[in-house]
Amino acid sequence: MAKVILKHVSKIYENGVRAVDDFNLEIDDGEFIVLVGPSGCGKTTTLRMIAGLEDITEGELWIDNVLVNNVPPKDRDIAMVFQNYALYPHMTVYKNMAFGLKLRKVPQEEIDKRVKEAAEILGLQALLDRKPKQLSGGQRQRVALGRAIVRKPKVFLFDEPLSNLDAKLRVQMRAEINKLHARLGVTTIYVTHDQVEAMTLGTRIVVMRDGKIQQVGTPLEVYANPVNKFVAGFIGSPPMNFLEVTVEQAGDNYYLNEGSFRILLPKGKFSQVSEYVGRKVIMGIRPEHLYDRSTYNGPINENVISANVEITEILGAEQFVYFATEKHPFVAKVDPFVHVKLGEKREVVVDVEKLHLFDPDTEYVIK
Amino acid sequence: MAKTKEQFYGQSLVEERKRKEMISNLIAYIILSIGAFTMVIPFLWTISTALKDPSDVYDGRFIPQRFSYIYVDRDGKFVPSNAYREGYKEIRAWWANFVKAWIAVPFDKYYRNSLIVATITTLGQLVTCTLAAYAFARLRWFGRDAVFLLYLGTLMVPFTVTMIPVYILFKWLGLVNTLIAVILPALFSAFGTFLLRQFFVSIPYDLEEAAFIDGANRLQILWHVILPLSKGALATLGTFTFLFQWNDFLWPLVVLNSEEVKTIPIGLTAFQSAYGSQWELVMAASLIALIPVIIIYLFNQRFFTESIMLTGFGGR
Ligand SMILES: Nc1ncnc2c1ncn2[C@@H]1O[C@H](COP(=O)(O)OP(=O)(O)OP(=O)(O)O)[C@@H](O)[C@H]1O
Ligand SMILES: [Mg+2]
Repeated sequence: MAKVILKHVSKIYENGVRAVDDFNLEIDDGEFIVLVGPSGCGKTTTLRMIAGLEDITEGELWIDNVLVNNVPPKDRDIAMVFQNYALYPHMTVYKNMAFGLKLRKVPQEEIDKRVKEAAEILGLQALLDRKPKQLSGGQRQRVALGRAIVRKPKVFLFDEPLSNLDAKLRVQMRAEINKLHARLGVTTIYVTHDQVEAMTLGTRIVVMRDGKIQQVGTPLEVYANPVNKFVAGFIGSPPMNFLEVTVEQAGDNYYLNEGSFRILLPKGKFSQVSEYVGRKVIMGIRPEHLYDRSTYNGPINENVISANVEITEILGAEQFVYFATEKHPFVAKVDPFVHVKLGEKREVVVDVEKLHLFDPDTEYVIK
Repeated sequence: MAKTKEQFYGQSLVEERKRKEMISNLIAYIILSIGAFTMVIPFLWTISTALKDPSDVYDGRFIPQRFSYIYVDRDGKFVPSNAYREGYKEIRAWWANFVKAWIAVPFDKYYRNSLIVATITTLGQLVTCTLAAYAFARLRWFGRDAVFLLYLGTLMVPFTVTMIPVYILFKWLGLVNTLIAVILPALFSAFGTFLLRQFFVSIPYDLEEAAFIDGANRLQILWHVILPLSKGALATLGTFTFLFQWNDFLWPLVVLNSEEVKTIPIGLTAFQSAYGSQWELVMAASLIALIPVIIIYLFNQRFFTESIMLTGFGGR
């Protein structure tokens, strides 16, 4: 178990692509860090640099207070789980797990003990003599996990380990990885482009775009206080709605005017918009912070949008209603028992306390 | 219950498809059988002739009418000649021609030499080609691809062009008329390197990276991961090399002169020029020469099928 520190780490590939740009992160002992971001944002590259499979072009990587930039993977004491498992096809499950220990000259009884232990944790006891091709996707994934845990490494690295599994299995394995981390407490770095995985697994998540860190924080922090429009749109499902509005001042009050509706900002946000009067800003509001008027019990000041219903999706526990004003489409998550008719005009209440405001040029949140 | 129109037509359509399938299968089988038959006929004829009595060789029959014979002299030794002398005992048996051929020339020596040459070169090539192929497939070094192309280019140079310079070289080294002269040049092979390289490249790189992280070095990866996955390719290369060396004629003919070092193909030619009119002996000798080839093939056959099945790594 160990601390992992990345200081100004960058990766420039031979073809000139700057895949990771000035990556700074301090990972505490026992943390579960999730790197999340869209395809091609440099998550895998970062992980591979930590693993030692890729040279670090610039910057420093410290594992357990040792500078490991030039230490080969086998001496970094890390274990990695690959997206496609990378199990040795010619070895049995047992041998797949034992291989790393054998190479490290761990005594046979110790190997046996650790493999049996891992097999028990992962429910693989009955499969130890099988070859990988005789296993299902979920079982292979478990063997890959087993191969990582028998080594008792300082750091676990996962590269989209669940992306080859079907939805149900993914949820199940997600829970198992969570349990495993709780049980072993090993520092873990986990790559995914699935924000649900990121939210459910990470003690902290790192949102990346184009090789740069956008935001680091606990899942709730990142969800509640995204630093920019990108993070706001990336975390949350369905994603946050963005509407371009103009800031207006009337007396002591500030309003956001979209053209077809106008909402009153709460007092707490006045200081944010005072410099933007007469200018455009981007208003961000999550679907779960919009309510159908018929089910809203709170005070309704001047924060109602009326818009046309375009589509509605009922998922059982929730209902997503896709609205459109003259200028913008947006989604609201409403009670499934509200009866919504296509094409009708309905009133939607905005929870203005949960509103996010972004500068249209920098796309950063307005402070 | 009467059939509806749809059921009726549906059924006849299925039947029609089945019939068409059967006909096309039949045609395929006939063509394949003809092919297989033409391939195997000369071989069967060889066997038939090798079993025949010398006076029946030209009888034009496929099934031998009687087995050949061999004489045993007074000391109980087999006689290589067909000429009868006082006191000889005649034995008729299917193996008569084989024994005659075997004792007519020092076949045992040829056999030993050929086995030495083919075995050592096969093992040698497996080692050298594996190492070279891995270096070309996975290590990164300056000029790698250029060197690989150059090496491949040597495949284009016919052996007849390099034969004389190589002969002079071996003469200078004092190795002419030794088995080393046959073994040494055959320890390395551009073809084998190419074959294995192509196979190694197809093995997912993830496996190697996983092994790296598990703590393996390059040689351990090669030994524990790459080679076990390449059994098919190795068996193919091994079989090709063995067969080629077993049959190789020109170079051994040039560098090997004495009976002591001759290999089977050269021995067979000598045998053929000495006993050329005795076809039953020539055929028997050829069959004797074939035995290791058949054994090697039977032994490696399962790897061939395995290697075909392995080409898709989908089921990892
Ligand atoms: N070996 C390589 N050589 C050159 N460029 C590369 C190489 N590997 C990745 N890249 C580039 O670096 C960038 C980051 O790639 P990376 O694989 O780290 O993305 P990722 O975040 O893991 O994406 P995904 O979610 O699709 O796996 C991409 O633009 C990619 O094209
Ligand atoms: Mg990736």
